Amino acid sequence: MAVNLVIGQIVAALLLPVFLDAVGTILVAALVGPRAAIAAGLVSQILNAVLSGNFSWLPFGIVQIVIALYAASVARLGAFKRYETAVPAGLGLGLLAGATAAPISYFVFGGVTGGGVTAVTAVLRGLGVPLPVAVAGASMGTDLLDKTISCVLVAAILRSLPEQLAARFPALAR
Amino acid sequence: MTFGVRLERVRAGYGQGDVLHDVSLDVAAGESLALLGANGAGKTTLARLLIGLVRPSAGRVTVGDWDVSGRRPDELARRVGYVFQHADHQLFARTVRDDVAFGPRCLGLPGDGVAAALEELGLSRVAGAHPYDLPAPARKLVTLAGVLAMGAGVLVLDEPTAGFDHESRELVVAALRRRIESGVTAVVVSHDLAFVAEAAERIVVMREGAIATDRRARDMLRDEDALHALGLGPPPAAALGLRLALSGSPVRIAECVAALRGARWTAPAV
Amino acid sequence: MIGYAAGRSPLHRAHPYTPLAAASAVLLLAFAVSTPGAVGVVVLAAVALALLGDATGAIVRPMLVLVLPTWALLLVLHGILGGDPHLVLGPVTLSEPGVRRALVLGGRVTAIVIAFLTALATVSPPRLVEAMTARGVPFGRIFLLVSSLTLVPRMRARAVQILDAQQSRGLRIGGSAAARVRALVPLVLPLVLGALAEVEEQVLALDARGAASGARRTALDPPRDTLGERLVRMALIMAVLMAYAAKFMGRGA
Ligand SMILES: Nc1ncnc2c1ncn2[C@@H]1O[C@H](COP(=O)(O)OP(=O)(O)O)[C@@H](O)[C@H]1O
Ligand SMILES: [Mg+2]
Repeated sequence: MAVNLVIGQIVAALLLPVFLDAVGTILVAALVGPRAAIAAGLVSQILNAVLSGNFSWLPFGIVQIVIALYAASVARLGAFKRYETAVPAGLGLGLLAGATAAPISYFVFGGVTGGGVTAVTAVLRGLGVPLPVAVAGASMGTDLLDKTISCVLVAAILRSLPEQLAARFPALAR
Repeated sequence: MTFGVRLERVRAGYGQGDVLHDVSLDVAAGESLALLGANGAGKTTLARLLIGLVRPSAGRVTVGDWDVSGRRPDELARRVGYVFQHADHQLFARTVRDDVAFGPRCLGLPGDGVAAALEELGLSRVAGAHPYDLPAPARKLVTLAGVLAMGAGVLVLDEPTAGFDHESRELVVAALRRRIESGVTAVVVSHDLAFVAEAAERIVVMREGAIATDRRARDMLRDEDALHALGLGPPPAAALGLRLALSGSPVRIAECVAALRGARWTAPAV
Repeated sequence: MIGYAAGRSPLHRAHPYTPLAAASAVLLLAFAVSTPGAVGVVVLAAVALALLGDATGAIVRPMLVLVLPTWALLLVLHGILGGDPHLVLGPVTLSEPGVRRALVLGGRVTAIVIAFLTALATVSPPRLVEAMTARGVPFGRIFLLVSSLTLVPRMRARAVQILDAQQSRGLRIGGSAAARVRALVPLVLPLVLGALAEVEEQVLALDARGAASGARRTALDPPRDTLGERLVRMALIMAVLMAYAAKFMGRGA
């Protein structure tokens, strides 16, 4: 779960407009299973809020649950074994996560979530796009990119896991 | 290609105040220098200047004809090979061989140095193993091989032998000596004086962000008072040479052996 | 700094659950109310908590760093870009519903940030562990919570080291978007592999200490919990329940 929190630092150094805050959740889903992934996702969301002090992120825990369930089921189908299957899995996850996050973004916070999404929202809004549409559009575009990269990274991590370590995770054997 | 390294009246730090105060240092191409000094004296900071991870706030740092300011670390990597103190955090490839090949690949080098570097550090046997399945000292050797494979003209090693057994240290000494003989410039930060004795010709002692001492390694390593002031003592070969008053002021094992072979053996009176 | 700041205030001396309960109550109350006035009351409650914990000095800097950008964004997004009617204030025109909305959202964030920074500053982690142990929380779960909390700062330091190390091996941080995405692999992989290896070590250490045996451990020096504090926590729960009941019955503030 610490992975979710620290990857942001690398992303910031690379100046990429994504969060990749779900890599840890997806990874745990593939390594251990859905229940552990939900726990990791929720705990990291709470820790993220506590450590960064940005409590407006808390309700996005719901998104982490959706991510955990989805990732665990596509992992069972072997989606993270190859890059060719990780990409569509990531696009699917992006759609799903975006669809979950947009209403939260809008109803709970009126569109302010911080980071890239907010900037995109503000630009769209300045162009005269109605707020709900702007929030949904910004959130969806970012999510597609974000979750696709996340899934490919998880595939890369699983490929380079040392055998000794991999043997400790029964979910991988499936 | 080989390059000298020069610091001219350099100040540097991490934002709040300078860590290095007005440091000037000239290391000739092909010279080997050891940096000594207490924790926090600024050795690592000086070393990081050379790869562009710390920027001088005043003064100039040059590697050959390159001024390091205005060059990114990944550009400087063509001339400066840097081994970090906690280097094993950087390993990520599936095999030792792939990880060692990462640096050369980033620089667009042919990669023929990879097998040689593995061989030199005794890693050929484990080249196909996963780096994380190796014990910590072996992982550190992998990171060293990764830098040797990049074939830089300047090597900067921060505590390269910390936690090493005798055999691993010998491998590092041999590899480093081979580079130095072929003209590579070496800057090593180390408290391991047995290693320093074998690898360095010159010793610079840092204290509170400034250069306190700059001497021939042979003189410094036989100066018990100066070493005691740093909480250190002469390395074994130098200590033996001093106790037995051997000729030729040996500080390396091989020199000590040669001096003992040449010395007339007089049995101590019982 | 964010984190524990030693002190002798009532919150420092209280049972660790009490400041945490108070901060959680502020969080829940902040979302239960939706008018600027009511949110203002919650902010005042959070400030009172900080004063009680003698934590204002410790939290003011992180609080401003976290809260000011939020306010700036909210005022731009809602105050300036919001809907009619608009108010003209000298050179700027502000949307009236937008400003109200910004006040509510910004007030919520401010109250929550103050409350949690106060809780973090006044609850000492070792005392929290003792308290959880005394309540019979399984040792394994406490250990994982604490170790993941300490893992985060270590991983942050390691992320910096990895960035430095891979650049020194010739990895370019920057360039085209595709190159930057590709650079993620040599940066993220060592971080994750290192973290997994470390977690594995911790789990092994945990097994070695018999954490799986399920035996209940005895806290050495559990923090005292008084009847008064229990009542305070009950009152907080009641207040939260009442606020949500009012909200959902349509009479919320
Ligand atoms: N990343 C950093 N940020 C702030 N200060 C640092 C950092 N790294 C080192 N320092 C400070 O710089 C000084 C010199 O450190 P360093 O160069 O690492 O010394 P040495 O390698 O000789 O032990 C120390 O006082 C240390 O606290
Ligand atoms: Mg150092």
